[in-house]
Amino acid sequence: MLEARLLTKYYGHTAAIRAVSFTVAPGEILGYLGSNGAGKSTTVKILTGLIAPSEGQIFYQERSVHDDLTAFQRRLGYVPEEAHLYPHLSGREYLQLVGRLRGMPRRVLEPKMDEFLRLFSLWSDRHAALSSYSKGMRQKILLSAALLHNPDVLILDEPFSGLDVTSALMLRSLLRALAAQGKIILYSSHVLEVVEKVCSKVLILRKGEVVAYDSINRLRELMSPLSLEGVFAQLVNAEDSDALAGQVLDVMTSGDSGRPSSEKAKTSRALGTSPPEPPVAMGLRLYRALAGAFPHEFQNVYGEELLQVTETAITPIWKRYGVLGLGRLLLDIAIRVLIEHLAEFWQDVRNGLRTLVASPGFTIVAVLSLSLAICIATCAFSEMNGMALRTLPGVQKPGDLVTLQSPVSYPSYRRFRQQHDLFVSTMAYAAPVPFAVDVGGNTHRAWGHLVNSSYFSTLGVRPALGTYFDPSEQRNDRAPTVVVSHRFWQDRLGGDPLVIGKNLRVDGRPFTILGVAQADFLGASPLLFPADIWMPVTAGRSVAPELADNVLERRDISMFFVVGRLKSGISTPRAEAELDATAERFEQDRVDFDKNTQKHRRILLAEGGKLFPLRKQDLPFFTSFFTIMAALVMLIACSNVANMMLARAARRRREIAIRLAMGASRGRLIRQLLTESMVLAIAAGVVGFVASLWLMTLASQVQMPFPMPVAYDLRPDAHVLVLTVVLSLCTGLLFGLAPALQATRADLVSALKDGGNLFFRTHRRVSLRNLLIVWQVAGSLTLLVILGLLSFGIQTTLGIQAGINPKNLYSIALDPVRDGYSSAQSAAFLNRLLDRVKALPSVKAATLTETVPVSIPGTWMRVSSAGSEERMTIAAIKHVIGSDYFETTGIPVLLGRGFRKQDEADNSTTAIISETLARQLWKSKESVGRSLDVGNGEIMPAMGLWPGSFDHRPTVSGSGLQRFEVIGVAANVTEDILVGKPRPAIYFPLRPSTYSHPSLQGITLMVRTIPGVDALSMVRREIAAIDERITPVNGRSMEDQIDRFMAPLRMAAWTYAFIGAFGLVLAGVGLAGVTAYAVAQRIREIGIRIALGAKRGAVLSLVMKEGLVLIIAGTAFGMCGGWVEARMLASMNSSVGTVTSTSTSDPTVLVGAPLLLALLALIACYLPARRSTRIDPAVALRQE
Amino acid sequence: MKEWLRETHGPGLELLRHFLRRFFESDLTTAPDHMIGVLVGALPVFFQWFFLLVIPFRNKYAQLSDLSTPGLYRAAVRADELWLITLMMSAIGLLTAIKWQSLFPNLRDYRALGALPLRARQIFGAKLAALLLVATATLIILNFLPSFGFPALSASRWAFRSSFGARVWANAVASLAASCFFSLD
Repeated sequence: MLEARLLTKYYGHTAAIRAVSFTVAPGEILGYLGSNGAGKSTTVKILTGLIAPSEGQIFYQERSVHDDLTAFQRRLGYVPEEAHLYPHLSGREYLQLVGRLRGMPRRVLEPKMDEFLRLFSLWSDRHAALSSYSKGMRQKILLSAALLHNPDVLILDEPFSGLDVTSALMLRSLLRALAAQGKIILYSSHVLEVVEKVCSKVLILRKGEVVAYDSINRLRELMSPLSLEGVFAQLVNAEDSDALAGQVLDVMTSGDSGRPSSEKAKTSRALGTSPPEPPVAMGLRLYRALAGAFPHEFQNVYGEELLQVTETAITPIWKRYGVLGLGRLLLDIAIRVLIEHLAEFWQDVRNGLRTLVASPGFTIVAVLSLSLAICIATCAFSEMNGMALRTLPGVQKPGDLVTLQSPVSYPSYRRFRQQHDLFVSTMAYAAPVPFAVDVGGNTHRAWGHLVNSSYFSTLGVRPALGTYFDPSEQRNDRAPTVVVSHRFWQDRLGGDPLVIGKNLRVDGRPFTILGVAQADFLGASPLLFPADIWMPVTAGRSVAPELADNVLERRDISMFFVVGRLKSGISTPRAEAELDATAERFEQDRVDFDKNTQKHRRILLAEGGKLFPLRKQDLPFFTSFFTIMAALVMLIACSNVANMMLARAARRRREIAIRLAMGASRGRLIRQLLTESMVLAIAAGVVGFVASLWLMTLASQVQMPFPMPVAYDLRPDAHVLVLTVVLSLCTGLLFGLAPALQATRADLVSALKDGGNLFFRTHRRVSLRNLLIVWQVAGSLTLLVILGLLSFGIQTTLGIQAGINPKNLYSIALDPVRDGYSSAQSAAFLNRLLDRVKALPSVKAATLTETVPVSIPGTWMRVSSAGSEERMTIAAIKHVIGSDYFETTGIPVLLGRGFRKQDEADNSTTAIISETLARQLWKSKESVGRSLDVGNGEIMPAMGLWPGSFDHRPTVSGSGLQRFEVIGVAANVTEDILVGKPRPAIYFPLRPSTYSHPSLQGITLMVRTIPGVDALSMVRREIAAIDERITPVNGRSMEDQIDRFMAPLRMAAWTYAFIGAFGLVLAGVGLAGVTAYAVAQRIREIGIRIALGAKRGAVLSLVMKEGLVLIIAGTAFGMCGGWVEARMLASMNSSVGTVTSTSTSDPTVLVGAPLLLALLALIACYLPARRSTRIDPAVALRQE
Repeated sequence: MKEWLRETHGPGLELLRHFLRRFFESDLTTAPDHMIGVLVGALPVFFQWFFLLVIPFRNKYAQLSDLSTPGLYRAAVRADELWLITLMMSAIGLLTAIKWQSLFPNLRDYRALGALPLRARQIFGAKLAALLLVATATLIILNFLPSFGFPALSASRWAFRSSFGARVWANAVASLAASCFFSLD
């Protein structure tokens, strides 16, 4: 017997129940009735031990349950009013959990719970998550859990809630049957009709107190004799309910002691609950796992059937076909799973395409935004890839190659070559070397390398035709040979397959073609010094002036680049350290290593297998700068599209809600929305990649201001393609995921109702969309500030070529020595040409010069004031010029005179200095007649690695101090790529030795003519008139020369400006779209406000205010971001530091950028806000 | 073992395995055992995170080992060890911050388990044991490769202790102790 004595429960000072007493005898069903809030659930919770009573006690079989609550709970079955289940468990798992926690052994528990699941029609959903169950299904699970252990006491709190009629009738019969078995049942409800049918006694609560407690017969008198259920029970087969209840009863009472009845055994076999053979069980388990992998929708339609058919058929299959049969079955379903997923994916793609086609405006803007961003990111990576990351084409194991950062002398190379413990092999080469190549009677200028015999073997490249050099090439008795590039072979030699062994005239001498290099191979430094001709270093000075003065034996001429292939296990630092030690020992005889390099080392190694042997300290700048720019642009574009997707997803709220209501899973909808995003991203990826391919092909064709043809192949390769694909997919995920998650979190009821868009502000300020806008403004401003600083910085620092007069000034280069002339012949030819040109009536002035104004500075020299007490040493740019140079170029000579013919002698000691050098040496311009010392031994190394910035000629780098007399002071010439203080310059006269071994550019003839004359053609005619074999190169006007010199920076400035403008437009589009969406969402609210008398100005300010707050927040973040990143970039690279520092104080960027963005953003907000003021209240209110 | 797991055991063990599973469920999973698939996928990621550092570490310590003095190498080892320990501590701290509330029964536990013949201390004990198990497993998974990998990668003639086993042991103990300290703190 269960007895409650004077149960009272207080919540605070409020009594939920007061002095409730009752008894329930075995076989009785006590109906526990009361209106809402009467205290029914409180009593039930006290009875089940969920809460303790404030007063009173409960007795079971004459003992207080609180003495051993757990023992009482073991005998208790409880069905709560609300099903609080673990949502991730399946129905079967929940029953298993409850059974196990009640200590039921498996052999009893599993058959029971399977039987319950079947009897309650839950078998097909037994593996589905409880979260997907309906209320009635959950109620059935609770009933099953309560009955599993055949309890003596059953407490039911509204157990019929949510049950279908058949189940309700069955439960009713079951309760009666249980009572007949002597169970104690307390049935809490407020439905009198049900209580009437099943209960023997009734207790009625009112405001926590018992108002009636008596038999059912007394209450029945107050009720209608025929209830609704009675009518229904007569219409449906009530006997079946009773039979079903009988079966449940059988299951409940079955235990470990007794075998199931024959009926039950039959059912068990039908359900497959009798233990199958292990392979069948394993196969079934795998089958179920695979069946669970089908798409959700497929499972909804076919899932049950799939399982039922297989569970029935698997044992016969095993018996008939054995393992092969099971394998075939599993393989079949595995393939089917894949096909179904692919079909679903294809359906999603088609659906996505249809949806996107239906919104062409959105699709075009989104694809354009993303494709521009992907294009910029791809271009950035292409540039990074082309400049810093690519390895030498055709070279084996490029990672093993190292190169010395600075050139060394050939004797030093010989020392390094002996480091057999470090290198597998080493090679040395001199570059760039111009050659005059005679093909078919026409002479062309080609560039190449002077190499030693191990050049190709060290790089590990194979010839396309013929062979490469071997050590015998080093012998002077061998016939001279050359190797040509594949490009040269194709373009100049017509791809002749029999070219090997044929003669090629190079620099006027015949050479035998030994081999053709493999396609794409342009030497060890193709980016800086692409080579079409490779000639042995033993070819002799008669062929290559670079080899004059016994350079292979001189330690004072550092002109050879060294590349080594490291042995396995040798690290670069170790090789660097050991080479440095070798160089230190070598230094005892002669200084030929500069000690002032990085880390105070003589030898520094760079990666020899890269297209561009970038210095280690420059690599982070190359990678970080491009990465930051690309990431910012990508993030802005993604935010923009994510914002539009959010707005669009909100518009599709009803569609999504309908899909959810129709049974689509959230995961499925997310997948579908993500597929749409992916379709957009892939379309943008294709457009972006094609655009970047086009842009990079254009960029690769930009002429660089170098004396030799240098081409940067920046076209995207396979690496870039992979990046674009990854970028597109990540982009799709990035901008698609958040909107998809938010869109599918729809509240079905409100979404399905029309007019569900009337909502007043709650958490609008911190919504995802607002955060995205803030980020977008911040990101755009950061981008704008950085690029503005760079762009304006470049514009303001672009060099102003002052000091020379470029109008009607032309230059053309010649190198007769390369065309086969001797030094004397060369000098005679050039002087004759000069005389002829000067004699032309249209020529106002002409000169020969080695250095051309507005070009990359070749050599810096250290110049000291001689004789004075305070000896100053200044670094100055060296110019070698002929007489009449100043007159021709228009550079005024401020003091003294220019060079005359008699100054052009090898022993000449005259020099002209620039105004700046004069001031720096002697603090005044009055320097004519003074002496200065030029330290050839103190010549500074080449400035950087740019092509044309080397000059290793012995005449330039010879040893010893030499004293010169200043004969004139020339005006300053500002000819740098970036504006700055005029650099000090020193001018020397052309000497006969210069004619015999000119610089890479050769000797340049500069001509100033009267306007309207085709000076270049005129000069070419004069050259041809003297000797047709002489090849003029690099003929151009000075204006062209200046344009070409400044082109890279101008291009950079425009690129930055373009990217900045793109970010600005994106931000504007995003803000306008989102504000328009916000207005559309609030159209009813605004309509009501206007209807209630709100002025249109107030509505306008309401909408604008929201946008303004976001803009201010974004601006604050953006300014901080821009400043920090500009500082970061400046710290990585001094050039950027120079450029940005010139503009950091420029209010144009610091004030203009945020103002411009804010203005654009305000316009973007204003347009939709203004539209909001025109909303007709009647139309807005009718929307519902 | 599998058969043993399928059997019913005492309420303590049953609760423990129940709460262990609850750790890996979230609103992002929609089907029973869905999380197992996610976990199986995520486990290699957590297990292998250290592989990302192998090449940088190997190159760095190969270079540092070639130096003529041990100072720079030892400073780098110390810095990297501290960084790895801090990383472990942060990961465990994050896990603890996310999961600490799992220690106490929530409303769902109260309603689903309250009427079953279980004592409150059994529920609390099982929750605590589950949390400790998950934290320990995470500690071991996250620390497994670094404990062996870092001493192997940073092996050098300049190493403080030349015995590989001792270095592995020291590394593992330091990481585990730091993580435990952080999670229990």
